[in-house]
Amino acid sequence: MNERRLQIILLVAGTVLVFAFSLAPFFYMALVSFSADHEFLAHGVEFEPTADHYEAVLTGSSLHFLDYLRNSLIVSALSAAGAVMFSALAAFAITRLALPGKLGILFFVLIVSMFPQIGIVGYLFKLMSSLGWINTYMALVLPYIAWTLPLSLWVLVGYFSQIPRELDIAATVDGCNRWQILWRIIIPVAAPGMFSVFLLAFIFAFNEFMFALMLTTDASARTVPVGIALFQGLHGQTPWGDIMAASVITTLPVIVLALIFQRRIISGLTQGAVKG
Amino acid sequence: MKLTLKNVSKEFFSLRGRVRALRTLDLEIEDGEFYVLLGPSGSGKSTLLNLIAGLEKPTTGQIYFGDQPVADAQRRLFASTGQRNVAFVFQSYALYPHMDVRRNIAFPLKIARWKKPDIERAVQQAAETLSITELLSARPRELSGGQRQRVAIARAIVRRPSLFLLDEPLSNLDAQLRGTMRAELKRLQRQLGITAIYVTHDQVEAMSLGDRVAVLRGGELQQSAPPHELYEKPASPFVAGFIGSPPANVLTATLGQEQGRRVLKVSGGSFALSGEVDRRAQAAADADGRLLVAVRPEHVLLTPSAEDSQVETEVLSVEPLGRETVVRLQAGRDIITTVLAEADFRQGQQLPISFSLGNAHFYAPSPEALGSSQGG
Repeated sequence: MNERRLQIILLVAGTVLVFAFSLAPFFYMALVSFSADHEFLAHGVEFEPTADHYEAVLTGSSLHFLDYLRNSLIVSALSAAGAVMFSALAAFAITRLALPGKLGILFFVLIVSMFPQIGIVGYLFKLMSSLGWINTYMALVLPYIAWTLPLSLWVLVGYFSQIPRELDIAATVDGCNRWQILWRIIIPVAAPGMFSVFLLAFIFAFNEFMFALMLTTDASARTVPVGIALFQGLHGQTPWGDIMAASVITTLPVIVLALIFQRRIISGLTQGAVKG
Repeated sequence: MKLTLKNVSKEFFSLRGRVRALRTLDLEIEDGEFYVLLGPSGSGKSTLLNLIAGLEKPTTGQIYFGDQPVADAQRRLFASTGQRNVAFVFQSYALYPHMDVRRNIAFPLKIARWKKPDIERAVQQAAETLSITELLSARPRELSGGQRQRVAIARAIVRRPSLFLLDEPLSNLDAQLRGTMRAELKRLQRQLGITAIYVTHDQVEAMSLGDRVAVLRGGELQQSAPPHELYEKPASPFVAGFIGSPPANVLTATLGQEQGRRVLKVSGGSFALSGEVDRRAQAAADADGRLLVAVRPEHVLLTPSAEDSQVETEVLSVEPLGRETVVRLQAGRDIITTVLAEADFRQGQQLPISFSLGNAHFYAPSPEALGSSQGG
């Protein structure tokens, strides 16, 4: 009996610890965003609830937060759409067409995805400068598509290869060409997979920092993560309250998306992992 | 529509090298005929169906739909599946899971760009033919196996194909439903008057459905004949050992002399030969007097006649089926299957038997045929 009680206590304590460890920063972030003074933890400073920071972030034009948010949404949506489109075509070729060296392609793609991001930032900057694309959406969308393609491809290959070949043959007999097979049969049947790929690519692009920092210069293309990091306060102070308020606002949609679609995201990831 | 295959063969190239899926073969399938391709797995029956459907290109030979060549290996002519207007029914049904029944059936017409009212009329008619009108708005996953197969057949017949191809369409159904669907398929095929080619490994299905049945083995056509002819005059020991339930016993035998009479020695017994049976046995035997004898279970006799010698056997297993009993007997190295009216046999019981050689078939010995004859 005692042993069992000990087990429960340990379990609860462990769970609380893990929760506290991983959620404390978010809790602190939320608190600071509602506090008049960010140093409310220090001795002699009272916690004074206020919504000023949210007001500043959402209405103040000097911070450009809404511009960043708009940029982020557009860039993420375009990148995700591109990733889905290209990976669907590639996955169809790999699972359905007589392509030599399919496995080679898949593993090559996997290896490429492991290159450190910093390794190509310099080249990317030169490329985008010479194209005159610095500080445009395209400068971010193209690298994001390339960067999310390996994961998207692996997930979709997993989905596509689970679709029975008889469906392709049935569609062929019914008069479809390959293009129609992809559009009318494979993609609709693999809709959950397409959706998880879109979501994963979207979240990746939404969170990405380094490319966005190097390839944008102002509010016309800068995305939220970089924008928040570069928030400038009056007299050179760091405006912690505004930063935290903006962070809360940006985190919420991602959390909501992840909560609603968590099952799909997980099944999409594991399917891609299990079926090569 | 009449279907003609001339000198058709198919080879695949795999990692292990060249695989001959289908040896050179000639076939003529008459207009409106229900033609069954029967064989064990790996016999080439599905390859043959795929060649006819246009899903594979023949390595040699020509295929004609009516007078129209649809594939010619020499002239590099090949009409795609879409151009051949064939319908295909799969073992796995292959319904489109994201479409309801109505859209599933309408799909081939939609791809062929039919007008909407025409599609609706055709779908309604096909659904009525297969009595699935009340399922039209259901999704495939909500249907039972039998209902799915009906939808698949409706999708196949909806655009009036010139050829109806079925690849083991009933294998996934339970035994009872299989019987009903079999009867219905035959009725439907007669009603529509479409030439049908049906692939199966189940000889009962083949015999009950086919106007003619082609037996294939290892990519080779063994015999193409009406069911009763397959049963009564099997062209090879393989056909004899494959057709019938249970199929014929294919036994190795030798010709010899005993007390001045010509005898056939089989399974430890010797049987006197005379007249027509003697001639047939002589014709089949090789130089050493060896041959194969195929005896149907019903021609295994329990009461040896006076002039015959008998075969000593031991009862291996007894399967009472109600009206009759299938009894398996061990005679030396041979296993002999027989069908008897009585059921009171015990395992291990000694049972002397004899063969009605007048009804037996004789074949030249071939090592590969000997290997597979014990499957029964």
